[in-house]
Amino acid sequence: MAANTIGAIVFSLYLVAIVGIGLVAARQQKTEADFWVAGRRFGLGVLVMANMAAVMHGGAILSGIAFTGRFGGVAILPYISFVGGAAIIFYLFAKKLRRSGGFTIPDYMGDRFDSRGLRAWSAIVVAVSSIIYLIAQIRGMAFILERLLGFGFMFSLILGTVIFVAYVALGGLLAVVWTNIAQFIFMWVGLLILVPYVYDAVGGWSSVLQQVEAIAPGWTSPTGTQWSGWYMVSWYLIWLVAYSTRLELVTKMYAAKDDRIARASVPIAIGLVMIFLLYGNFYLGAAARVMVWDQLASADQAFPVLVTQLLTPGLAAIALTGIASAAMSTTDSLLLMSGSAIAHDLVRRCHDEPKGIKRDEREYLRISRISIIAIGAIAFVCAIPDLALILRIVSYAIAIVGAAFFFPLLVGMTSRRVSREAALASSIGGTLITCVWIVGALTNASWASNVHPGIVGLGTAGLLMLVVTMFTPPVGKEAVSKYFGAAT
Amino acid sequence: MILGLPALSFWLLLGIPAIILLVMLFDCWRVLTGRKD
Repeated sequence: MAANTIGAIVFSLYLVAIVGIGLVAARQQKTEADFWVAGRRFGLGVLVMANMAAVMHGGAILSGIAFTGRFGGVAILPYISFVGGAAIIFYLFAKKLRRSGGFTIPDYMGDRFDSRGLRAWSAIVVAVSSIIYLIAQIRGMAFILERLLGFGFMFSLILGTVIFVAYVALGGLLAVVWTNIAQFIFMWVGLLILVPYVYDAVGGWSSVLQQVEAIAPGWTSPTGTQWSGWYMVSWYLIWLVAYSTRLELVTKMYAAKDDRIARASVPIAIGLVMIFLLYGNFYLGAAARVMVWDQLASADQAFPVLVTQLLTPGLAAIALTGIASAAMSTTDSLLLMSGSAIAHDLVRRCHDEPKGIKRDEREYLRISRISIIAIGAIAFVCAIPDLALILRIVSYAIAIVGAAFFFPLLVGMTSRRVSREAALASSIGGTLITCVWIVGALTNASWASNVHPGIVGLGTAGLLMLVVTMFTPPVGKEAVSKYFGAAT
Repeated sequence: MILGLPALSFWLLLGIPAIILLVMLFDCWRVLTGRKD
């Protein structure tokens, strides 16, 4: 049987399985809490897997191997950023977020700073950044299906979008997490098939690193083959902030059974991710550099070429299908987050509740599903043309989210003194400056070329938070006590 | 050359996050067993 046929059969079975998961999860959806936070019933095992899927996905394997193979030791930097970001969530955010009983980050922003304006602003930032990211993800997923499984681009785009929208709209977070777990297991199967074959070809960890250093001098240094020390440090800072404010991860804290489970899930997940990266990015990236680098038209082909060269056609098809399926795991979380920003934060919390409009939980469930279908349709239409600009903006999306939420989360969780005005100024000012810097970077303006927009945005957000807090009164006691307990 | 890696700083960049992670995992065990709030 041809490799493409085997790949198509395995992938079809997988698609049927995830739609099935969506249908089963749909039967458990009665209220908005069921839909957005899976009724807050996740135990430790499920939440650890969900957190891992929020950080890692199939695209991270493809681009991670390409990146590591090309630049070398600099790929070590996510380890520090992951652990630093995880420590911030573990020690400062997780317990208070779960105890607050919210659904989304805009819920936190609105409740902690007692501000409907901040809630609406946060919802818009979440929705817009998630939709832009979603457009790029849908395109990326279609490319992966096209390249790995031989489907046409348009067919891949339609297939991927329809399947996503179907299971997310049907089953909400429960379906997303169950499918993420399936995708994750599938991805591991795809990667583990390779182990004996790669080991046979290049040997173990020490052996492959010595070989790669001989081929590409400097590969095993911490700055890799091409990066400067300063460039690495600025990226380390950006990623530290990006991981501590990673919406897919932080939002999952709300779905834990209790605050102990929420907290404990973070370091366990990050520890497993680090082990995963040592093999899935580092070892395989070094092996790709040693074995197949000369044959590649672009670095992105490193994993497919490695797999095709080492495995029999049948096994290669299974390995590639595993990675292709897992490439979907970020997309569904983004769809869910942008949906919750519109249906829960904007419609319910910013529009209905202040006006005293009361709707049945089932009606909110319907609104949630409609908003997910609408966002899926918008992302699909925008993903059809080759909008290079969107892909360039996406590379800065983490900077926007970091500037909007990092200081309000960090300071809001650690200080009673911070004011509503300071949070507003920090979030809005930081985001706007980041956007201005991104426009400068995209138009190759000289003033924007030396510093990453995220660094400028964070600096502005931090400064505004500090200065405005000094001249404005703290948030009212009721809002503060929800996160710090009653005043002593 | 330490385990195939020429740079000590590389091992520090791997070792520091590993130590922070171990501390977090210890605290995680304390949280789960009720020894830490």
